[in-house]
Amino acid sequence: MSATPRLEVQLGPLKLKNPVITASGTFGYGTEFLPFVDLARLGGICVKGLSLAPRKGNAPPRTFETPAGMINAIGLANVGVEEFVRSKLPALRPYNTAIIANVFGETVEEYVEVARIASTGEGLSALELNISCPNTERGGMVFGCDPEGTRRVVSAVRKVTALPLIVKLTPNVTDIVSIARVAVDSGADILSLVNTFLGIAVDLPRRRLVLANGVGGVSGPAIKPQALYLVHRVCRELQVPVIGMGGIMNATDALEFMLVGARAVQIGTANFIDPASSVKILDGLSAALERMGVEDINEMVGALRGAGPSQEFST
Amino acid sequence: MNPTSPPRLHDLSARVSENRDLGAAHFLLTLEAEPIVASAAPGQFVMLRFAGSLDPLLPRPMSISDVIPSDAMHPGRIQILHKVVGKGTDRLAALRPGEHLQVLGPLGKPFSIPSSAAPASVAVMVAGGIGVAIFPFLVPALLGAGLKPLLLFGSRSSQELVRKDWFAGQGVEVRAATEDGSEGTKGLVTTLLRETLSSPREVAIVYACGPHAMLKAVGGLVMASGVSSQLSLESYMGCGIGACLGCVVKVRRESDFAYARICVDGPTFAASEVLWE
Repeated sequence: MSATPRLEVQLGPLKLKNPVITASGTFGYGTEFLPFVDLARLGGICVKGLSLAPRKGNAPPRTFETPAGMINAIGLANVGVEEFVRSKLPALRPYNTAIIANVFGETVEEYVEVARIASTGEGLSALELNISCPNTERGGMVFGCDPEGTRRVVSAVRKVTALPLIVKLTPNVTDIVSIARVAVDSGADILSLVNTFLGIAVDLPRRRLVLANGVGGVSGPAIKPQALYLVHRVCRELQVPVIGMGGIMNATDALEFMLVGARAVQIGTANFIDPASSVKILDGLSAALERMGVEDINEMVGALRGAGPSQEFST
Repeated sequence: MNPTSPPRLHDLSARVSENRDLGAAHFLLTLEAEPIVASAAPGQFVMLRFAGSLDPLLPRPMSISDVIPSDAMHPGRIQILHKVVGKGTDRLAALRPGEHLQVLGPLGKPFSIPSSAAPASVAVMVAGGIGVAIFPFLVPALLGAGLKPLLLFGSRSSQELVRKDWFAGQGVEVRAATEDGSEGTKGLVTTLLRETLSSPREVAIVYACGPHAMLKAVGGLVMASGVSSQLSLESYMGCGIGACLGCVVKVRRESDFAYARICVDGPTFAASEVLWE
């Protein structure tokens, strides 16, 4: 009988006790899930995206269910980075898990200031930079949709934080590898991908877009194949540690992302469906590895054997 | 380690004990959910989901319509009154006794019950269509507080006045308004509320649950009359536990406004809190 599988993973400068991280925007500030999740069991917690000033977010409706998925336009509502450091971070600190602050801005200066303030928070393990925001100084061009925008924001933030820097990529680009490469060259230690896919929902009887914001981000199982593809591409082309996400509902989904090269995963929409999803997936990972006779989860990372049917016999 | 004490929430696989077809696409679903019965209060809701389902994917928020305490034969049960309107409710309607459904709850802020109302003053419940689902659980609490419950029930037609006789049987005065005039007053339920509020009867409080437009109208009437109110709002929800920020409503905050989460800051709000769009 083999011992319990080893789950510890190393992503550049960031060590996690296991590869299961809750995704930003789907896990509040962590404490909302205390009735369901022993936070200390998680590899990490990515908190709700933080901006310089508090944000109210968009008018409702903000969410809508789509086939095997959901679409949301919350509008990045959050308490602001200072309030996070003052009240939310201390509430999370007692739990032995990696606390990751997800940060964003509308200008490079704002990103820098948010990242600088977040980095002063005691007990933070890493910063995750959401670069899927429009640059208000460049006509609303999304930072992460443009190599130059990506370079400017990542390199500027890199200068003000000593924390491990994760850059979260948007899938809404023509060539994600070129953006990924710029992010790494500009100082990203780790990449996380993918953020939501842009989408809309239509209310036929009323002939209106459902969300008050019109456009939203699609998440959930509906985007898993697309997300796997993009993670696979980035992992094949670059040597950077990758955190994979997009519609992960169970341990099998998580291991698929790891097979194509992700060293850790984020659990997002699943937290809404079953608030204990993250720990259930963690338990499922251990069970699956034991079943397969895999002693260390790192053996699964990038261990894809090829494409199409196997030539081996299986009886 | 557990620095903050979590609320008493349960996520359990509940056995269906009955799923009664009430006609006009309305169903009364009874679920064995002892731990939820033990901690639920009128005005709260549960999130229902089909384990492993990808479509529908998200859990569905449903008012706890009533609770039935445990007896020698059964564990404590909760009742969900719903109307088939889409994928989720369609699957709920198809549930058979013995099948299981995942139930998370009890969730949300309960209705408050006036503790010092004038003797025999009236507690008005304004129901719009399936919004009536939330009220059976409230009735014993109102009677227990010495209030006289009055249900103002509005729907499209008499067929949709579901459980009307149940209320009457509990000692609730029931007045109906139908849009097609097939029963009660022809027109909207707010007409009945306007009459009630301008009558000499002492109204202690107005509860309301129904479509957004009805709640807005009820809010206007109670604000004008100065009667205290408890409105139960509904919304699409992602999580039901305050994490996704999907189910917000605009509320007053000093000189400004804020978006309150219907799932945890509500679903019960006083009319004076809400800023109607």
